[in-house]
Amino acid sequence: MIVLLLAVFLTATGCRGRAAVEDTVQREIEAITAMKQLSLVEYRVSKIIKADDDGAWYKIGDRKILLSCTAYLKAGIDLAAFGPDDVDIDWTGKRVTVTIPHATLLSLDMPPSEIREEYDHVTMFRHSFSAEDRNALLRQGEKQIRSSVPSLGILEKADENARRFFESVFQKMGFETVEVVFS
Amino acid sequence: MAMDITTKNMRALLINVLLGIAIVAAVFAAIGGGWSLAKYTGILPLKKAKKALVIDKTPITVEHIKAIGELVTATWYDEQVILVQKLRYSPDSTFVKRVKEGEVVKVIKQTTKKKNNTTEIITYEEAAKVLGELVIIQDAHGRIGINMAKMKPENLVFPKKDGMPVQIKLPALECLDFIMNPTDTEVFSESEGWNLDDLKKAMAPAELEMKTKMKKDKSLFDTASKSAQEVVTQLFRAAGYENVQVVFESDEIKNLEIPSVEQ
Repeated sequence: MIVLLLAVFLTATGCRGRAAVEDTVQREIEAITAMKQLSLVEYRVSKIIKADDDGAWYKIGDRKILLSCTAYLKAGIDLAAFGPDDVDIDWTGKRVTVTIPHATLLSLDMPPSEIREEYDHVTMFRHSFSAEDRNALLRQGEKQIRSSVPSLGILEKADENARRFFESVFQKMGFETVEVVFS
Repeated sequence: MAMDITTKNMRALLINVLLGIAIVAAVFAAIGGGWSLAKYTGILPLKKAKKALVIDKTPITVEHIKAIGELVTATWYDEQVILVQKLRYSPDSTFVKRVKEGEVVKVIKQTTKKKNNTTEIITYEEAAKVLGELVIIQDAHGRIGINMAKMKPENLVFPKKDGMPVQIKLPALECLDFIMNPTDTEVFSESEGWNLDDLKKAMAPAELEMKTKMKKDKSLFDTASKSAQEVVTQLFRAAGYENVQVVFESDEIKNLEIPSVEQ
């Protein structure tokens, strides 16, 4: 029995040693990163975050909470790879064809100042919602907003604005016909 | 002889009972020891994960749509540990220097008093007990760039002769977004009694510190301005202009207002 326990202990200690080494490897994150993104549309959206915690069968009572939040979504195009190869000029006809990528979601901002607790109800035998509980609910709300982006129409709107932007820029440069194509 | 047999039986019984107790104790010790070892070494998933409360799926309302033209040329990232404590004399107050929970501390307060048509500021100390603390790890992302909507017609000067440069004066770089989302916030430790307003107030000093760092970071301006110059130059070169000169209206990053910190 002792030999068996000792064997388990030694094996497990080895596993824990490997896990401890992995835990100490940190991800290096650059504090400053250069980028080239053109934001073309901003959507302001609001959402109610609703949670009803009936609890497990052995918990008496329930707790409910309602939070409201506002988020600012910005969509546009990434110009990191944009270069002379993406612009095809016909000097005789004063015509230019510009190839740009489709728009993507560039940022989602859910400012803490615009988050409000609208309602909170906790019965006698339950703990109040902690800061961690509230933050966990808000994280889920943020994720739901992010996952709904394709259905909001923001990306199509950003594509349309990208077209108008490049048409305007190249027309100012003297081109008569500007064609914007998405890659 | 009968007495000898009884004594022998009693002795054997006693030995058996003691042996039985020893074996049972050894088995429990082995189980307990094995359990502790397994928990300590983590080789078995003995700690049951807390079941997360799931929110209902509710609709998202689009309140406003705005066309913008923002060229983002650098992002800035930082992480801060925020520690706040709650004091007894006023449930809404927080105190940023750490003291032990339950300790009594002296806090400097101010009030005003009108005397002979003048207002006097009186400073006094008040004792307060530390009720609890909240520790948060807060990430923030700053997005720096140019608001192209601020470009004026006179900022773009096309060359009158061949070989002359096209001159572009870009608006000042500004902090277009300063993002501290719930997914950037980790509540590391808390005692009971912290509400949402407490959490929001706790983040204010972190925002103050991070924006101050951004303002002082010269390399942030250098990175953002260099990237902006590259994009604009590439755009005009793609349109056939070989000689492009790009300058900025200002050599500092705007829109980094330092928020006031409520105590």
